[in-house]
Amino acid sequence: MKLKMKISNPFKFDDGMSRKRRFKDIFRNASTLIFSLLTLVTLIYIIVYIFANGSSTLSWQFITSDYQEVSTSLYSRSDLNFDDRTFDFNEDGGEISEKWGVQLVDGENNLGEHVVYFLEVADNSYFNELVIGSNTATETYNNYDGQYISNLSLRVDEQIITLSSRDSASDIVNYLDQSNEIMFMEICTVGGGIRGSLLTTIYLILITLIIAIPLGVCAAIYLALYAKKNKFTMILRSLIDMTSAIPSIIFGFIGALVFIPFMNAVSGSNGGSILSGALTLTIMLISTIVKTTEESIIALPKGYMDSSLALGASRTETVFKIILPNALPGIITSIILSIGRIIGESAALVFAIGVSIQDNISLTGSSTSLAVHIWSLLKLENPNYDAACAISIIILCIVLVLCLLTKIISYRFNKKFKRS
Amino acid sequence: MEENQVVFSVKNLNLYYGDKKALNNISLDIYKNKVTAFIGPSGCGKSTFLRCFNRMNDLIENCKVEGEILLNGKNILEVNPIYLRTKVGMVFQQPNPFPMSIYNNVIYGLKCQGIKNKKELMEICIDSLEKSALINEVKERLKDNALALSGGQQQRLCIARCIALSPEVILMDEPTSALDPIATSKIEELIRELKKDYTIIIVTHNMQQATRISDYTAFFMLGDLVEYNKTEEFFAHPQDKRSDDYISGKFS
Repeated sequence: MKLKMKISNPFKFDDGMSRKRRFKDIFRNASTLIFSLLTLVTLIYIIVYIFANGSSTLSWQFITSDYQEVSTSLYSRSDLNFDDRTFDFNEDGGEISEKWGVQLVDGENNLGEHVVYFLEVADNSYFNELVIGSNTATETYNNYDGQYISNLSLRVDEQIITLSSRDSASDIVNYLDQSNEIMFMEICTVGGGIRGSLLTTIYLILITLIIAIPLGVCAAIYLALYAKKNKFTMILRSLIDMTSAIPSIIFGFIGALVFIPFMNAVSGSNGGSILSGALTLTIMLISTIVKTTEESIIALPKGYMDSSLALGASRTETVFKIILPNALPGIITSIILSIGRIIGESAALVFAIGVSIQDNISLTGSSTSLAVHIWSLLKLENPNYDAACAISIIILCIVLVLCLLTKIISYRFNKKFKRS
Repeated sequence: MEENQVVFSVKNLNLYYGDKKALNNISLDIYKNKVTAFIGPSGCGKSTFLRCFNRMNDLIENCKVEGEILLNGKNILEVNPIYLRTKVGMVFQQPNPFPMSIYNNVIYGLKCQGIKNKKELMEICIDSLEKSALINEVKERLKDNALALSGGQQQRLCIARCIALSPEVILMDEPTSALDPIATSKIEELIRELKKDYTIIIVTHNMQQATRISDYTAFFMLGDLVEYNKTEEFFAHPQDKRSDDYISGKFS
């Protein structure tokens, strides 16, 4: 039996291990390899899936446009007369209706559907004489920038032709040229964008950090340098440790129960607002900031404090001139980690801000962050996975950049403290 | 003992860490422009005693000092500790310059004192580096990070930043134990040079070092001051049996 084993494994050293031990080693190595491979494949699959589905939706327009579509109903007046006009167009491309004086172009909205956009409406175009409301109204409309045609009814030789945004620009121009009357036209601004949620996220980051950094850094200085080692600080420390382990959804309903009524009373807002969300996030993040800052203060050579004091500096001078500047990389790391956490946080914000996607952002009004925007998109009747993936790409990229920044800062920090 | 001016006069000093007594009824005088060495086995309280002179023990919780230390006749417990520490400088075991430029390291203490005149600061900086025999090695790179210096240079920089405050006394807590023999001999040479201007108290584990550089030696054991005498006398004719055993290497 032993001989057979040797023949079947000619490249294996005879290291005196029994078959049982050798088998155990092979099993351990194989399981390590398989599980790490599994993790890697899962991660790569998620990232590839997100990029494959989201990249088509992701565009500058997607980032900068509003979520709500605003539609306008337009009619040509019954007394509209065509005279011999010529139209000048500055833009190239698209389809030109020489009769009406508009230039249309095929495009896509934020959901990836085909729509027909207004590329240019000439200054003296008949479209600038269309009226809002009914064909006897007098209020004309002339702001077609960035809008698309969602519905169009034309009278062509006593026939009514109905077109929609799914028809191509050349078809629409073709029928327009044959027609003398627009019976009804609905134009829409492009919706489905994330401008509001992106702004909310930025506000959240700024306000949360403005509140959380001073609180956290001061608490860390107190704990690391001033606090006496007694029961009270021990309990305080374990509470701070515990805070970082509490699930965020618990912070969420604390935010809903405490901060939303508080902000309503203070600022007169109604329901969740950016401020109540920022306060909730502050409570969540303070433990991270305190821990990271305190660790970076403790990691400093103990001699700094002693030798600074021995040079006749006061304790406060030492803290602000020696300890804080040298703990700064740790503080910055904690800030970057916090930003990552704010961007990624959803469970707490569902309660503390709310889920309604808004375009007009105010600190006391309701709006929602990018992560909750994804949640809102996915709980629609027809979940919009592509837009969710596009937002995920943005979040992933920001988090990636933040991670790289943290690495660079800690690298520079280590280099600075390396003694020759 | 010959006619020497007394700088520090310690009278019946007791020091407790909590309930534990670390220094037991110590009385001695430190003389001006002399090097006084504190020797003794580890844990005998010599470093603790040294830290009493600039009140660094104030920072340790549960540390209680009884008795009095007079600096030029004035009880240091009645002096503002920040002022006291500018008059009584200290150099530690580990060379620990701050991670900033050499120049900023030297003038750190002065800046804390509120001196802002750049010309004055620069003059004091150059002067201190000269006195600490470092100027030739760093005069081209005063703006470089101090952590780029070698261990021995860093320790001399620490001495320089201590000198910049023009103290009367310099306390040294095993200043050469983290250094190699060449750097050590440079520091020892420097100490011999510095005693012309300053009074130096040095804690050392190295008895050869004590014989080489010190004028007076105090031998501590388990919180007691066993013997205090001129260095030649102490090593040639120890009066106490414990000192004799320690010098000759017979440890109980």
